[in-house]
Amino acid sequence: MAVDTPERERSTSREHLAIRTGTLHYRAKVALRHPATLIGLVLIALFGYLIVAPVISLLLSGLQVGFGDEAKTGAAAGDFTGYYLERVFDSPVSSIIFYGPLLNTLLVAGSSILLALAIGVPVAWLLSRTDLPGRRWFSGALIIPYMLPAWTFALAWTTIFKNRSSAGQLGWMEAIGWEPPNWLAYGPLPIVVIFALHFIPFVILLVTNAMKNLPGELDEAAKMLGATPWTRWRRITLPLMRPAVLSAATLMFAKAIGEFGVAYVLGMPAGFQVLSTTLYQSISTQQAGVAGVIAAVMVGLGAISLMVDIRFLREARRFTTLSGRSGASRSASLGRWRGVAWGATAGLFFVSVIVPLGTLLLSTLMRIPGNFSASNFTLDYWIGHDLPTAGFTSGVLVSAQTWAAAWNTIWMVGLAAGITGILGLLVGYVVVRCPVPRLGNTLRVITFMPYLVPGIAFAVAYLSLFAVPRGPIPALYGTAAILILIMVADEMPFASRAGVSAMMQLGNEPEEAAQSLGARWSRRMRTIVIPLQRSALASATLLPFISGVQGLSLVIILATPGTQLLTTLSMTLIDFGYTHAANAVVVVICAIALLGSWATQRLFRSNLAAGLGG
Amino acid sequence: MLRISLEGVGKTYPGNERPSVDGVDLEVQPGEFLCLLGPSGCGKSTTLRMIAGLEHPDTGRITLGERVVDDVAAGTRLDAERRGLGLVFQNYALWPHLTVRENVEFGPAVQKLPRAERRDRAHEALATLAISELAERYPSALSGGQQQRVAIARTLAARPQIMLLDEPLSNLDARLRLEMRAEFQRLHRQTGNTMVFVTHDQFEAMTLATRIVVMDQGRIQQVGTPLEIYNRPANRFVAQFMGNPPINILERGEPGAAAQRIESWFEARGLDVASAGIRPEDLRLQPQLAGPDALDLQLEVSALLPTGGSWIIELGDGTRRFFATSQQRPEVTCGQRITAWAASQHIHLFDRAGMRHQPLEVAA
Amino acid sequence: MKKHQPHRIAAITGLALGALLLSSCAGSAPAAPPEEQAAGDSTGDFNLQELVTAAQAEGPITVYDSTSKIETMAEEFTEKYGIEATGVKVDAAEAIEKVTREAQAGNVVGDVVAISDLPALKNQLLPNSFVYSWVPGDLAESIPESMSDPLVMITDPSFFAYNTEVHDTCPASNIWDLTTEEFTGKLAFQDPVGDNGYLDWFSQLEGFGEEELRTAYRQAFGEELETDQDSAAAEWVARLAANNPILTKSSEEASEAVGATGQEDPPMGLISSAKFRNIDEKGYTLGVCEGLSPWVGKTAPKGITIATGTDSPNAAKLFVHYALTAEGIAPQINDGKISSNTDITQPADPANVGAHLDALFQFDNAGLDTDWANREKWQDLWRTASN
Repeated sequence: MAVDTPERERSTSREHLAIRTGTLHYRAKVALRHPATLIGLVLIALFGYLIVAPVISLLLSGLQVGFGDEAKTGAAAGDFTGYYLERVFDSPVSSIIFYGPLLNTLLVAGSSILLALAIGVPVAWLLSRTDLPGRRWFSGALIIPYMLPAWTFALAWTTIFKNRSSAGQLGWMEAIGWEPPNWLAYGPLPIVVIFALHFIPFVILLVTNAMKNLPGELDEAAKMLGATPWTRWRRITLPLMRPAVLSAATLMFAKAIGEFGVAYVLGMPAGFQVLSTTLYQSISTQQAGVAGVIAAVMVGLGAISLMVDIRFLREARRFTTLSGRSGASRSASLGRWRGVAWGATAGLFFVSVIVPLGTLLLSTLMRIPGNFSASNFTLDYWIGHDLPTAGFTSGVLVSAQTWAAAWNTIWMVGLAAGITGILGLLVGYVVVRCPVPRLGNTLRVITFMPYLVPGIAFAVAYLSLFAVPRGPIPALYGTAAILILIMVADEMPFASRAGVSAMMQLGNEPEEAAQSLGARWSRRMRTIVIPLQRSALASATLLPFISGVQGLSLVIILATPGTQLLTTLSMTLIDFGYTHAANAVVVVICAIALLGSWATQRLFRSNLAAGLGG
Repeated sequence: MLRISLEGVGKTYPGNERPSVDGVDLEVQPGEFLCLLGPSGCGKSTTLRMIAGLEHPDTGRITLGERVVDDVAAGTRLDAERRGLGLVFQNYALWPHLTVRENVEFGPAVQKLPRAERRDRAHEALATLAISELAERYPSALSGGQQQRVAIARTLAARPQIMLLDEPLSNLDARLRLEMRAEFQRLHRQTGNTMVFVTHDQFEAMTLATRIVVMDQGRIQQVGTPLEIYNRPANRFVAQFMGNPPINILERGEPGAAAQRIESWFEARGLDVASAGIRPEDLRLQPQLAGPDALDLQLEVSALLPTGGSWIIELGDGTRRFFATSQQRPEVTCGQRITAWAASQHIHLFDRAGMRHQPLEVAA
Repeated sequence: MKKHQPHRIAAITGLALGALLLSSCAGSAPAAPPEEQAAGDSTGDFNLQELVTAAQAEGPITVYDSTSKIETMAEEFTEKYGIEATGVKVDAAEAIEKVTREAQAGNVVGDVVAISDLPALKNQLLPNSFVYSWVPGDLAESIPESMSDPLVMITDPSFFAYNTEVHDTCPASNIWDLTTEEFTGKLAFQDPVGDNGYLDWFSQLEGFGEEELRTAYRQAFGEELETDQDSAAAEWVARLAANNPILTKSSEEASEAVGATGQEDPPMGLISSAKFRNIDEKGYTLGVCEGLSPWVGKTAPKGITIATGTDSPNAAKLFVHYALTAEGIAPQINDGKISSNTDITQPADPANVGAHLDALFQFDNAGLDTDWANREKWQDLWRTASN
């Protein structure tokens, strides 16, 4: 359509440039008047304080001389030093504390992601696109592993597979006369398997969601062209799933880097170190400098994976515009494979839910682990009175301590999760509505940062930063507020993803329709946007609630006198050596997470996948 | 009833090299039913959204009646909620959590009208659109056509002085479109409102608008009544965009017998033009009716396509296709070689820049 | 939780980032402890009754300690003196962080701080005057000098232990035995790389156990020790690390590794005395490795100090005094901790600590600075030797 001659085009674009520079100021003014811009600026200030500042202080501790290191570094505390960098990257122990663990970390993260995808993607397909028997039930049930703390899997694994290398109680396999070899009992293999089991729900949630939104015609078109099921799966479905798969992979990667408990329990007997375990060792021996450097590397790794994800997502965006309106997807008939598919799915449920939860539950019912004689079973640890355990003489269910801790957990985590959900939606609002896209993108990046920072390191940074008054903000340490704040900050990654995707789904039109009818901003928010996003809000609240209920690393460092949470209670019990009661408390934690998510899904029709931003 | 005036209005979205709307000057007369027409991405929706106040230009000035609502140079900027315009969205944008009545009452409620009046307004608007019985339903329980009516009723109830419609018919099936077209016309008559609507469907534009603005690449290509646009396209783009089947364009220097013929026809008349366009209905198949000045082309019939009331005839010269239409059954058969012709006053001529070649009648 | 009016130290930064944090710390240290009191009390003119009266006039206190037993101690203190006290379990690493930040913020929560990381206490908290050490005058005589600066509250003994179900007597007679092939993969204890207590113990062995280690080596192998390492202690640590020990997350797990019944070839372990109660509670079969040369175990000290910025200095002092009495410290010594007050008779406990007091390697405050300086050295030695 060559209406314009090339010359005309060039001259107008030059004119346009001039106009553009002239209107920059005007543009800024226009942008500033948009409420989303103001909210965006306020949120950036807030998250600058809650997220960026602690992260920077954490990273700086790797460059500044810490208290007590003056002699070693020959400089005053607070001076800049390369000592920690050198110790981590170029010292006789570098290969032990850094390079080896780095390789192991990448190995474990990579393999567990591949395994989780290899199992999760087909299962997601079975759940969303086939006539698998009981698929509705499985869709809920297979998400449960996400609600169990990862180390419950490690506990189950050692209970079953441990061997004489760690001595002590017999493992169940040993008890029935087979001694598992070391490579099965400890080290990379079990860590990879457990990570994969723990991550599969991510894959199922994100991929199932994407598959449901995939127009059925795309597959049918290929069918009409004579493509076999395998070809259709490989050439059509799988490529279209790529954005969802990549999102899941990014989330898993960051989690795999930061997860500490599993690697510690199963890696130590094999001398298998990953970055999070060396980080933990540094923190527990007060080597803040070394910890800062290692944490920086971990943050860096996570950031790289995030950039890869964003890059691929940008490429993949062209897929999404195609979908438009279309008929509902139809289920493929599994035919004679139905039974096999059901068996495999049920097997996954058994391995990832029944085994860990069952082992945990059994450990609270058996006086001596591994002894299956009837006399060894008891309900004492649940409902007994006057038990010989001096520090905790009642069963978990009849102890006032449990109930007080449960209540604290519910209100504090609930409040934090609620705030997180609202902030997440606001981030989404800014991303979608703000006329300055950079503001929204900045917010997205900032709110994702906590995901890349291991919990313990984040908590230490919080403690350092918020113990003293900063400008207008009083010292928060010692108040319940700091706990709630760090929970909010720590859970922002998912909440903001969920908020962005919910707001994108809603689009601008409902709000614009109200605007064109003369409704001011506050009214639009009150009567249109917020009511429409109620279920999205519930979704964005649910995930923070689930992980907040189990989260230990944040709480344990920042817990304040008089505020016992369930997680700290279980730590106290472990400290006493009351493993039975401690495990029973963990069962209670799982129950609260399960009930909480069941209730939210019922009441608000929220959806965990939406909570992941899928 | 308000006049809308756009002066040098332009808008470039951040991150885009090309402006989406580029120096648009436009006057919408009070009471007019104006259509912004163009292919997707031509800037028509952005123009509409700037009138609505949902977007703001970064060059130029927009005036509604006497009120300047956007003036980049003066820094004036009025947000959508203070403009008092009505906008019907392409996807209707009904609020799923409110009933039809609550949706429609929203505008009057925002205007802080007394409860009784809100009810009356909503009632009236629903009655106008003949959907009173749907008042208590939720949008999700409505068909597409009903949703469309609710969206219009919602806009009407606010009594806007100008009504803007963004692709209002594109989500409806063919039968409902016809019905809603009549509805729009009736509404326009009944309210006397200034109405501006956006569409990419030339048929919709031709049948509804009192005036059409054809846009492409962010610029206005032509403004005129439907017939002016169709009969005297200002440039090749407009000529090609309007009409179905599309206009037959013959390019100078193209290969093929027809192109050679037109070359000699141009030369015989001393015309310095780059291309010629013949609308399918102007390509006639009865050589006996041709006048002396007619352009004749030797073509072979390759297909006969009945469309009910008329016929489309596909013709070819061995290298390219031509379309002709006929109101009567054409007395030709497939494979037949015929002489087709067009009267010289029906031949649109375009210069190298694609602009309409003016002195056509003079040359003839 | 009680409220403290925060000192409004000069508004340090705006919404500044952590960059300024560390450098701003030094200047904001609170005032030094009241000298005349500390000096006066340590000499003869201590009057408990006056202290009680003064303490009762003050507000409630919070006590940090690394064991949950502190909750009981605080309750009993409240019952005895009518001064509200809250015990909070805080690990050593957290305690250091908390005390430092609280002092900087002038927002003192922990008034009394019991801390098991003495080197950090000596090198980080005391020199910055975040806390001070105070020895009650009436008890000064009963506390060994090696434990009075800073004041030690208790020492926590750990014993080399064996499984009494499988072995009638301890399978090892000398700690050098543990470095031989017979004990490869057969000694369980807490991962020393992540635990300052072990690193400090290694350092103390080097500083105060050199002679005994060399003698024991002679006894075990019939020859003098020749080593490229700095000391016999370093040699022992390196050999131990290379001997593939079973490393656990906690002493609790080590006690299970050693004492769980039904094992054919259980390992030995180094286990905190408190874990011997698992004999009763969990049916473990654990025995102290009596006669092990040169020591049957080690001790780890826990200091007790008072926050300099406390609003209730007298109540805090009274608590310190209380924690050094048989009555006050009972919850902790009942499962095998040893009070620094030598007048207190060791109660019976499952590990029978009282009988082994002389066979334990004793910690000495004189080594604190070296311990502090050499943590990385011991960590690195362990890592390289075990790799």
